[in-house]
Amino acid sequence: MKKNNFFILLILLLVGCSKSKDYSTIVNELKKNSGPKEVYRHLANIDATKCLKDIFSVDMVKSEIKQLEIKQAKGTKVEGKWRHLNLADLSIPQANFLKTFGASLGDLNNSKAFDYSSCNDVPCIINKIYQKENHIAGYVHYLWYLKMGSYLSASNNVYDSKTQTRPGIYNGKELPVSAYLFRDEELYAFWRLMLMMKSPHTVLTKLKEITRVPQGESFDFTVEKRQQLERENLSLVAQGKRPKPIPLGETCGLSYSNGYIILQDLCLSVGQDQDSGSFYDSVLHELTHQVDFHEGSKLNTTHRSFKSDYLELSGFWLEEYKNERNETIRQWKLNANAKLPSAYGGTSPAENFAETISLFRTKGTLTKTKISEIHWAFTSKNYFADKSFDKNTIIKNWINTQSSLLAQLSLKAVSDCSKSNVPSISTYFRPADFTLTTLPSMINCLGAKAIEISQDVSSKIKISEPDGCSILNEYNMRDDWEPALKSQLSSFMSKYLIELQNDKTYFAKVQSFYDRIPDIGLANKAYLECYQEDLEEDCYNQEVHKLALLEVASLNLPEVHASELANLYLGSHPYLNTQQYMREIYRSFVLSHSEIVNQAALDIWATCEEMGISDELAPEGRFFKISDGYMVSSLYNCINAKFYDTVKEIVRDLSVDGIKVQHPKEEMILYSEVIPSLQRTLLSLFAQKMEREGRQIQSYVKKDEGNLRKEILSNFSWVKNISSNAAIIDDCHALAFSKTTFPLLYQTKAQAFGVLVQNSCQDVQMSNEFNFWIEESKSVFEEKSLESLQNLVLSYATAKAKDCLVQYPNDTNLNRIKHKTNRDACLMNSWTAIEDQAIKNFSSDPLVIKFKIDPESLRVKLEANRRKNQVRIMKENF
Amino acid sequence: MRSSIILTILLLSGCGVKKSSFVMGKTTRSEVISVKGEPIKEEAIPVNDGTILIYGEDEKYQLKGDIVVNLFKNPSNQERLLLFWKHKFKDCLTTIKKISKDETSHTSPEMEFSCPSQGVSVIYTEGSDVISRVIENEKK
Repeated sequence: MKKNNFFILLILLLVGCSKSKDYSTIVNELKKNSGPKEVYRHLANIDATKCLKDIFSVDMVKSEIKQLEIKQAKGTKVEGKWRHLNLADLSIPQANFLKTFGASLGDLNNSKAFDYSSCNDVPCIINKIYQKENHIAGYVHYLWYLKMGSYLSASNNVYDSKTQTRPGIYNGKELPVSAYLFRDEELYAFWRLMLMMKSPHTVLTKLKEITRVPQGESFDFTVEKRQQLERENLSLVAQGKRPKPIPLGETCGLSYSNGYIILQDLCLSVGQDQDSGSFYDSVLHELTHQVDFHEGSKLNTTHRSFKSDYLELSGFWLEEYKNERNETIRQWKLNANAKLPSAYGGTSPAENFAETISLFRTKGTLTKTKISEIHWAFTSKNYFADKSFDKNTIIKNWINTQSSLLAQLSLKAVSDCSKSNVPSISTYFRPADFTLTTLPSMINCLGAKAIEISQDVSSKIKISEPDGCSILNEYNMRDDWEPALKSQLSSFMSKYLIELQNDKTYFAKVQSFYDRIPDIGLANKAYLECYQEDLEEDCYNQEVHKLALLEVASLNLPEVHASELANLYLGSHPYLNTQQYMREIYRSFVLSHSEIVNQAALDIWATCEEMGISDELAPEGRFFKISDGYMVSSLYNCINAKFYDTVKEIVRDLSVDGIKVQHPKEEMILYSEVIPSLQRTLLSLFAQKMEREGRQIQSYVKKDEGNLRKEILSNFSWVKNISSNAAIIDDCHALAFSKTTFPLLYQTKAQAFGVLVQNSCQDVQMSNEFNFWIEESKSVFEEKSLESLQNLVLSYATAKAKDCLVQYPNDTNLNRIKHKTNRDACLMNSWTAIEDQAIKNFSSDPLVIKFKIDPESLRVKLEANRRKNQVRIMKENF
Repeated sequence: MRSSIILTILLLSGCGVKKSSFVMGKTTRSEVISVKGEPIKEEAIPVNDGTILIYGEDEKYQLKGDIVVNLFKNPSNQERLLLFWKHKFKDCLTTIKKISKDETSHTSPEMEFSCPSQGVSVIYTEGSDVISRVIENEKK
């Protein structure tokens, strides 16, 4: 992924340049609290027919939640209440969930619709909305929050709905809350998707909420459009004309740049085996739009996919212009030879980006054949850590990541077979599969063990890998899995057979190291040492190898063997896994201290509000931004100016059991986590403040009771231009805005008082007061009329002058002289026609008609000024 | 006269003035070319008598006949922030229009925030704080 240089620079500035020593680390302190480790050697007898969907259960998800909650157990307790619950009594992440999303749960139209009084935790609360006890839903919703940091909606509100006049109503129908909730198979699919996704999809700090259109409903704008077309068709048919075709297409999902995703049934469709269906690529597609916005924002653009490098590799270019109606047209065009992941990926770079990345993950084998090699490599490198998801690569990767388990199982097999006298028959291996001359009984025994290993490991993969069951079917097992596995096993077993001959204590020595392989401690240490170093991944690989060699030194193994074991450790903890693990650790650590971030945000705001409000300076700063909202510049600039120090203070306050951050690299990582967390908290504070100001404005407007209009009608000195009703209304608006004195911090005057101003000025030119004033000031009006008419003549003459220039250009000295006579004549000869046109248009103005102003009298006055006007136009244009 | 205009234009562009020194509705093709050189590309557009001159950094001049009527360019520095424009257009009777978009799109529409009296509008994606394009046009 592209690094954001600005933030890296900021973090380096914050941390300084100290070199890391042997500091105690937050990650080690947190590890002390973590649960039991997985022990590779003890593979339970897993039923080979079981798939991921068969182990999806409340207990399974509960245990995942437990592991994640442990990581946040040492955070800062959350104060406050949610209904009957004291937040301080809940686990920290549950309390944070309720503090953030507690007001968006259940029936938002009726807070008493569900009785939560018997609940003491978040899953129970969500299950009350689902009206089921100890149901999977409550756990999946909460797990989504723990892993993704966003809200999988459990309410009857649909963001940005035009037809939702109040929560619960959609497409004009009052629907029960249950219609807005996810079906069981959709919940499984969300859970499986969480297993499929890695960074950047799992670190979308701006993603707020995923909600659904009620079950069985289409998006309201689609329904509205269809209904409108049907109405138009009825009228066409009545006129004996042919009706227009009604589009059958549905929108299946929408992704908003401010962090909302809305899904419709089509996007949520899950196949019968639950691992297929459009759910996976569709939801991943919508989440990838968020990646596009997120990365774009870091690069100071709206979409990552609009950057020139992506346009080039996807084959898009933008045609933009203003049409004859002065409308801006921005249309994406595609090169004729562009290779697309799907037809829809050809509609815009943003859709191409979302389609490519989602299909790269869900339909890897097919997508590899569809997009260009360079596009494939770009996607793999930047969004999947150099991985790919075609069938062969997936199998190869599984065998690689299981290599330490395979090594241990091979070691055990060689050890068992060397002691066993029980004859076994197997054709799995042939003598040529081993580098050492091996007895047939040993080959048979190892072959039988290899079949068991294959069965055990593939069964494990089927229930732990999201693609396990879809890839490891009977056909692929025989043709792809077995040959790759066999080669790996025979290599391990050959090595151990040789060692067995050389050193009888080898197994015992090596086994003690194998037991330590699952411990991620060495990998974490290496990751911290190498964080933000040049060639970070290479540095990590070398450091892990070095640390592992130190670990095996006590075993007194030959150098080559020691190095092999070190590589085995590295194989079990590859850089990308460790990076993902560490990011998750620090992210949940910062989340567990959300209360500190909340308090810091409140403090910064209060301090800045106290510093006085002014809108004189231009807004500056890019740490804290307010989406498409408005904010008075003094407050905005102050928050941005203090952001930098506030992040420092927050990191300084973070601790585990009283131990604060000491490791400089750890400090750097924490800055990178605290920055988006503070940004998000400030943004939500901004939304609250804006809403509060909105309510105050409403009350201000309500209290007006026509006073503003009375003031407008009391004195008409504000009327500057009476050439048309529109001009009078414009003058009225300007006055009305200036009369609204409410001190605005979070919205513009137009936003806040637009309606009041419009109502106060409505038909002001038809009021008795205005007519009285106008009668009184008829003479003044005549004078102003002449001025308006003259302006009209000048604007028409300017347009004519431009036409004349096209015919008789003055772009060179020669042309200037050559065409001078014709150019001047072109304008002069049209002058009378210009005046006629202006008088004609002016005469149709309602005020001119009303006052019966004689256009001919104005013509005389115009003629008096004619030469002066002509000279002015020629001077300005020729 | 012409050379003094060009000199002014050069001086202004050297001083980092954000708004282009070309006057929309008045500046001619030859004036643009004399300042900026020959365009990288010239494209036809579906507008009567309309063409686009394309320069580096995605700067596009829309011509009607010989006259430059619109300029499309990327925002620079603080111009990238929507809030900057909200302040800049504070005293202007602004309009916000949705730019017609493909209705099958899954993402937020592009919006055009305009101040006709200043002859400037900016493009952003609804809900986002980042400006993607600045358009100069004739002042109204």
